[in-house]
Amino acid sequence: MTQITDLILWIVNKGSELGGDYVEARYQKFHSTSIEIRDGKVVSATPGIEQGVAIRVLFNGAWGFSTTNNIDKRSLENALNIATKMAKQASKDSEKTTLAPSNVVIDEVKIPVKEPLEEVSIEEKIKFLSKADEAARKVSPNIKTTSNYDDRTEIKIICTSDGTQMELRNSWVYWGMWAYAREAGLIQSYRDRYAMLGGFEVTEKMNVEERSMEAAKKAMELLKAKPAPGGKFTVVIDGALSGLMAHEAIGHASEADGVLRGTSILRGKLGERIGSEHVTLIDDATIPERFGTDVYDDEGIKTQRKVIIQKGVLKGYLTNREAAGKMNLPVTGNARAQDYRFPPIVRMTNTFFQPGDMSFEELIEEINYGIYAKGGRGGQVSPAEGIFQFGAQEAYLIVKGEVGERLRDFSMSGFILETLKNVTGVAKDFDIYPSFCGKMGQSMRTTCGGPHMRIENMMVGGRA
Amino acid sequence: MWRTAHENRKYDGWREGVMELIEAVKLAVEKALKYGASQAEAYTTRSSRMSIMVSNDKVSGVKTRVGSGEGVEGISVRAVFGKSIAYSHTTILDEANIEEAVKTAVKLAKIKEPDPDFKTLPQPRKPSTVEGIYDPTVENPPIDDIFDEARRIIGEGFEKDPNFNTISANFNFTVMEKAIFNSLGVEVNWKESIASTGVSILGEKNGIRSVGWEGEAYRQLNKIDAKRCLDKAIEKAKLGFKVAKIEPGEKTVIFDPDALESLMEYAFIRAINAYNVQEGKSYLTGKIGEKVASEKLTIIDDGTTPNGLRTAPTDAEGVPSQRNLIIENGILRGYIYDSYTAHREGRESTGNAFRQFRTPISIAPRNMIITGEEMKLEELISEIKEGVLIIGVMGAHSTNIATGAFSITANPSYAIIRGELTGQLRGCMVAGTFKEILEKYAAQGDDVKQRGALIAPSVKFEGIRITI
Repeated sequence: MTQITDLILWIVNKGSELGGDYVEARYQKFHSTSIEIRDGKVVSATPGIEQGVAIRVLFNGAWGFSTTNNIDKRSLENALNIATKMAKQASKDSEKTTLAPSNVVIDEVKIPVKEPLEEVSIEEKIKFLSKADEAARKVSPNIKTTSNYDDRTEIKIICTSDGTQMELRNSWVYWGMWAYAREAGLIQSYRDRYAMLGGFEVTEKMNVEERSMEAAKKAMELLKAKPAPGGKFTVVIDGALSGLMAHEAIGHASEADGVLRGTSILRGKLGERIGSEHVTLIDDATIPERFGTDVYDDEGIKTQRKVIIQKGVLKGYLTNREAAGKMNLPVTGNARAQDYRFPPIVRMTNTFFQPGDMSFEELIEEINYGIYAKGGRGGQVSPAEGIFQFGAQEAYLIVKGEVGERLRDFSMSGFILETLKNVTGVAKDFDIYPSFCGKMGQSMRTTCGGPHMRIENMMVGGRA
Repeated sequence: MWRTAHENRKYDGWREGVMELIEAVKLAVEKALKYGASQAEAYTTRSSRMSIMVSNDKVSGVKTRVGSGEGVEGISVRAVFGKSIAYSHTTILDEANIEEAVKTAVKLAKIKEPDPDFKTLPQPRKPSTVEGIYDPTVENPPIDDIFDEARRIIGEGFEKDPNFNTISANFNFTVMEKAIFNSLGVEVNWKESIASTGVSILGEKNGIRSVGWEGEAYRQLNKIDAKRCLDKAIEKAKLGFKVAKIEPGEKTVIFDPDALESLMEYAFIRAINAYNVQEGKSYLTGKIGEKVASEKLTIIDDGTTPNGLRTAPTDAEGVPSQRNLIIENGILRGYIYDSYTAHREGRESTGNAFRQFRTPISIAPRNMIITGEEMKLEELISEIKEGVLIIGVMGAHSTNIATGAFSITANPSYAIIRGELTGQLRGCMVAGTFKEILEKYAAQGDDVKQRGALIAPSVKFEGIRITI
């Protein structure tokens, strides 16, 4: 890799010569495998190789960005010229920006891997996925499936004009499944997924056969569920859903690039109470093997564990160097880019609510008429307006403190500054799920999690 | 709209000294046959994109300025061995790396279980003649002028209302070159362009936050108009400064083209995908010839629409683009197919194969056109006693794709009371199935716009249940 590191350093120096206040180049090369099995049939098994360089230039407070697949001096120089010229054209009316200071780091990081993914044959990977797919279909002849396996091995080299220079090696495995149940003209679906950082050895810990069977059973059970009612309810949500809420309701709004640009409702709220005392929210990029984990972010900043909300009080934002510099905040190492085609932007990593001390029974015992919702089906937020939404996979009515009739097809919605104040109980359990989070066209590996939580006055969008 | 800035020619350096795409695909197919593939196909794209984003925040004084220019290329190889198919891809377009990708794909095809449903790669057919998909001026947009335009638009926006706090404007210019070649004789390559712009406004008045956004995309640079987007964004942002109330229940609901596209992507487009239909993962399975929608509604998918954002001579496996009837006066007439799903039913592909070089072929609509009872947008609204205009949808991706059951937050959305838009609705949710939505189609406006694959105006549906 030294030859490439030299090239990357060379282009960063060139960028400084052209007048860039800050220049950053990021080389990435990755090998990926993508497998899809539908109903036992391998529909695709695709290996791929990609490489490219992203160049970012800051000039007088404006950014220029460029990317190329071609790793030769001429192509890099061309990309640098574009980024520099863009930054200069953009900067006509902007003011000089000081990025938050960073330690100059020279480092090499390699995550621990026992079975390197590139040494495992594609047949082996297909076998791993097939077994899970088959486990789901064994549940009932009425089950159809779509199973996915994705993995990636990556080398990343980041060099900046501040002198930071690092080589990062990473790899991960992702598994996901959709189970479809059909009976008498009815059709229902349930999905599950899991992912970890590491080599092929992590597949042992992913329990995908069990998860597949469970997904198939849930899909079958949903055939008997009734459409949910709509309106305002007391709801109890499981860890998958409280994770989604951690991510959508508050995580995105705490990203400092939005706070800086004025597009987050949390601007000016540091130190203020925005939730009940039950709400403590963490973003932690340092947990081994978790899908959102990284040792350094894409600006070469060491990642960390951050408390966003402590007992209902907003304690901090997730930052990159620009936002931290402009707002005089600590740099938290949350600048992440999907790959060489994109500039780093502020992203979450592993984001979760802290568990409390209640049991599940205690959470539901005083609910006269409410909803118990489980399993995430994706969510969305508009941090500018402070409204969020997330879908549940399955649910039950709660009547007089008891879990009762099965429900389906609904989502929940709330306002950031209201909902967290309505959290009236948090259980001691905990669950966490991987997901690919989308923001500004970039998809990022993250996890989100939490305990069972009780929320009053939640909007439920059902059709019964 | 802008003069052509010749100095920007320097941006065009990606094309110097690199392998011609048609050369790359021919080389890949030739090598695949040499390694023992019985059939082979290669697909390659080279894209260059320039984009700018300018945003001013009045409260903090922060000005965000970002300009970028990206060039990305890649090649995908599909190797066939008997009845087994395998893919491989690389972004490194030189002979050695293409050879490596080909070797991997052929090796994989040889070990993969045969797929009895696979018949053959597409046979060569004459590509369709299409118009208006490439505008050379998109290759060299005058970036300097466009930054000035963005600043001017933002300044003008702030003058329109003292309660506007943040305004941003963005522009994107993409040129893509594609080439497809297969061992049966399919050979096609073309260039296409897309220019787009968008303006968004965030304001606050009496503690009420409101957003206004408008965007548009065209094949031609001189068609985009940021000023038009600004005016529409202003209108929406101002309307949102008032909060309106409406009782929950069954209402007349209008989806604007953006909101409709978001919902249809998950709740309808996947249901007409032949693969999902064949596998019983669609609520439209077995419904050909049956009434599935209001008799007023006709939906056509057309890969040849002049100037369409998804128009091209062929689809992603070289099958000529064509016009396909999906729903005719409420009757389901067809699904969308690639060659694989078509051959499974012993029919011809509808030209709906889609791929990026990273992913295997999937099925996607081309330009999906909604037609029906058309009237002026103002009339569409003015006829409504009590209803909702939805311009944004949150949570469409949580739709149950097999049943079309959705539960979304209509945001932003506005109340319509006695034919007038009276203000934003906070926390309005809509739940139902797309099957019901199709039956409840009532009429549509004249504000036709292309958003993603969808070419549609605002569409009115009657008797949609809302929760608020």
